[in-house]
This record gives sequence, C-alpha cells and structure tokens, in this order.
Amino acid sequence: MNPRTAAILFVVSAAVVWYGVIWLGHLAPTVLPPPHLVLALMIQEWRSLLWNTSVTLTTAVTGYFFANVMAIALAIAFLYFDALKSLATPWVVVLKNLPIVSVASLLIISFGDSPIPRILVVILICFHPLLANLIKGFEQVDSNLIARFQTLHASRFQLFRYVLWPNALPYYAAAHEIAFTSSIVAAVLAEFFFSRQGLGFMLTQAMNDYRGDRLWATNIIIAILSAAALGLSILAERLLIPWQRQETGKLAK
Amino acid sequence: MSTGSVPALKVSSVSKHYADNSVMEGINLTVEKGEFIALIGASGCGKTTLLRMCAGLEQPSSGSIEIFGKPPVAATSAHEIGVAFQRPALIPSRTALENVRLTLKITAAKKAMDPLTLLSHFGLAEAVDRYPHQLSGGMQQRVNIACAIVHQPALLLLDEPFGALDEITRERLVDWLADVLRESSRTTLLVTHSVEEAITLSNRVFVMSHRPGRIAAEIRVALPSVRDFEVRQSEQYLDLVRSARDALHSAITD
Repeated sequence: MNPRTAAILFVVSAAVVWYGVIWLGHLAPTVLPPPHLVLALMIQEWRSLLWNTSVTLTTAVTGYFFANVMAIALAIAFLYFDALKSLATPWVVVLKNLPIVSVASLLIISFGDSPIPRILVVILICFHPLLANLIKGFEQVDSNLIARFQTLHASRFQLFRYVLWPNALPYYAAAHEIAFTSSIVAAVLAEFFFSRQGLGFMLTQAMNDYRGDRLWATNIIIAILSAAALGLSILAERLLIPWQRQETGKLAK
Repeated sequence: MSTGSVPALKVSSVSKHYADNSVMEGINLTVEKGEFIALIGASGCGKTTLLRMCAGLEQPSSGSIEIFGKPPVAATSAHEIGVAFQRPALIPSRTALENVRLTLKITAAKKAMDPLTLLSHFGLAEAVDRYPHQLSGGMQQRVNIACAIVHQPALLLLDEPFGALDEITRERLVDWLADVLRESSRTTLLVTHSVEEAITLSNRVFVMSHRPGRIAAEIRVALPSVRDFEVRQSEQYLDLVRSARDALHSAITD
C-alpha cells in the first residue's frame, strides 16, 4: 500500500476509534475529550502551543546537534586511539545505563532553571545510539578494501574518507531514525521535570488543571513532531546514501 | 639500478610462522619482467599468505622478498603493485567508474590508463555508472581487476580472482584475462587452485605442498601465447594439465 494512503487511513481510523471509545464507554469530556474539542482548543490556543513547541524543538535540535558532534568526534577518536576507547568505554556504559530520570534530577539541581540541563538530557539520550552505530560502521569495513588501499599506499586520511566514512554512513543514518525521534521525547521529558516553558511543561500544567483537552492537544503535537523527525531521518538517509536506495528498489521488484 | 637487470619479484628463503604453526618454509622463486607465474596448491598451503607478503600486507618470519630490487613496502609506496583479491574490493558507495578513478586519485599515477577506455575495453561500457551491487559477480571482478591495473603497476598480484565464480563465467574471464594481459605483457603472479587456469594463463607454474608450504615442483608451460579452445584441446596442453595435477597430488600426499 502507498505510505501516503496508509497515513490518511491511520488518521481517519484513529478518529473513528477515538469517537467509538467515547460512545461505547459513555465517557465525559473531562475523562476523554472528543477530537473536535481538542481541535477547537488547538485553534483557540495556537499561539501558546506554537511558542511552547518552538521551545521544545529548540531544546531537541540543540541537544541533538551536540549529541552528533560528540558521537562523531568520539567514534573517530576511538578508531585511532585504542587507549582512549578503553578509558572511555566504562564512562559510556555507565552513562547509557543510568536511569535518565535520576540523572535529569541531578542535572537540574546542578544547573538550575536554564536550558542547559534540558539540552544535556537530550544529549544523554541521543548520544549512545549514534556513537554505537558509528563505531559499528567503522568496524564492519570489508578487510579486502582496507588491504586494497594499503597496497595503493593510501594515507590514513584517504582510507578514512574513501572507505571508513562511507561504510559508516548507512549505520549512522539508521541511528538517526532512533535518535532523532528520541530527541523530541527527551526534550519533553526534561521539560516535564523542571521547566516553565515547552511542551513538557504544558503537560504538567494540563495535568495539574485536569485539562484533558490541553493534555491531548499537547500529546498530538508531540506525536506529530516525532513523526516529522522520523520522516526527516528517512529523507536524510535517502539523500546521504543514494546507493542503498537503489539496492532497496532492486530488492522490492 | 635499471629494472631490466633485476627480477620483477624475488622471493628468497621465505618462511612464515604464526606462533608454533609453520605456514611455509624456505620458499624461493624468481619472476622475470613480463612473465606470468601461477602458484597452485591446496587450500591452506600458504599461497595467499605468500601473495599478501609480496603485496607488503604481511611480513615474512624469515627470508626476504624484493620487487624490482626493493622491499614490498617500498614498492607499494612507489605504486608499483596492483592487487586483485578473490572477493572484489569495491567501494559500495561508488560506481564502477568512480571505483577505478579512485585508484588514480590515490596513486596520482603519471602513466595511467584512461578509466573509461579501460572499462570499455573490459566490456563494461554499459555498466560504468552502476554501483557494485548492481553488477554480476563476473562484472564486479572485471572492475576489480581494472582497479588493480589502471595505474599501470609493474607487478600484478592476483589472488584467486575467479575463485568465487561459476564455471562458465570463470572460463570466459580466464580467456578475457589472457587477452588483456597478453596485450600489456604485464608481470603477473596468479594464486589459484585451478590447474587449468594456471596452465591456460601462465609461463611457469609453481606447485606448493601442504603445511608447511614448500615449492614442490615447477612446470614450464611452453604453449603458444594464444591459448584458445583449440590449443586447450591439444595433447600438449592436456599433458601439462596432467603433470601439474600429478605434481599437485604428490605435493599434498607426500
């Protein structure tokens, strides 16, 4: 099925199921507001929603940018300095396995009410899949290719540019699909804990005020942002690694 | 020192050990400029290791290897060696033409061939813009060999280049390679486990015994330079194949 048709069918069927649940359960709007009330609120409060969305997006994109810079820099450093890899691995493993909720609270205590702890939460969540995939991409190089370049007396830089980096690109692109969508969730999570703005803050406010319609509106925006992040990742993958797209096309026939 | 007076490849008393495991002992062979030499032996006899040492990818445990009087590493830095492995070493993100051009970019060779002309000559004119995964195994191997010779290396090392192909493609490519290399009279060392391939392509065949690998026999192939279907049906050709096979058999069983 055409993905566009599937997406339209999803939106329509979600609304049908939504109305169906309200009708079958005789649910009051305070328990589960119907889609038209949520939509009305979104129109009515569009300025506030847009502003808070931009705050969340800024946190997510900034954190994601730094997560990428750090992951690329560390993956390259690990490639050439084994000792650094051995030294840094325990740090990476511990940071990855710490419960992010507890780390978030520590960061908030240390950095206070500023964008820094929220950006750090995004970095912590997104950094690991990017680093792990880049390392894997560098490691999974065809040994024949390395040997071919060695017999041509290629420099380290040439080997990196022509062999290692292109080989890591599909792995890196695959990591974006997970990590970029996670950056939105991470930003909301960080705002949820401590913030006076952003979609996460809107969620806590709506919960405190028992405003189901605002809660649903915010959640819908978060879902749209995550879907858009995924769409952008797939688009970037197609642009970055066109040879893979041709391969997929060939397999699909 | 002129390259005419020194052998293209000189392997002197080369041995190779991994821990307590002796891969080869006392290998001696000399390849003159313009010769095509084949090295045959059973799997695991060390023939690929010997080729990798000639390419500077591994070091002998003892003995020495010289390429036009220089150690292999010096020969690679002078871009005098071209290597094609059994599995084509092509960059998946680059087209056939880009893969061949990349060899030139890295070697900055002055006497290089034109990649497009070379690929067309290899029967790949229609495939130059295709990515490696869009090429058949035989086409990938031809691109692989194009990558190995485009910079006009003085010595070509081929490690079972047709080992992974089906019988028909393999036969076609052996004929093709014979034509290509006859035209350029390039010094070549071919590692193979196919006796027919060795006799069809080379001037001399070295037979290696099993671990530790030693040169068990040397067979001179005094056949016309064009070894077409007719030559390959001749008694002389079949005798050579038989004697190479006998030598290989006794090298393994001794």
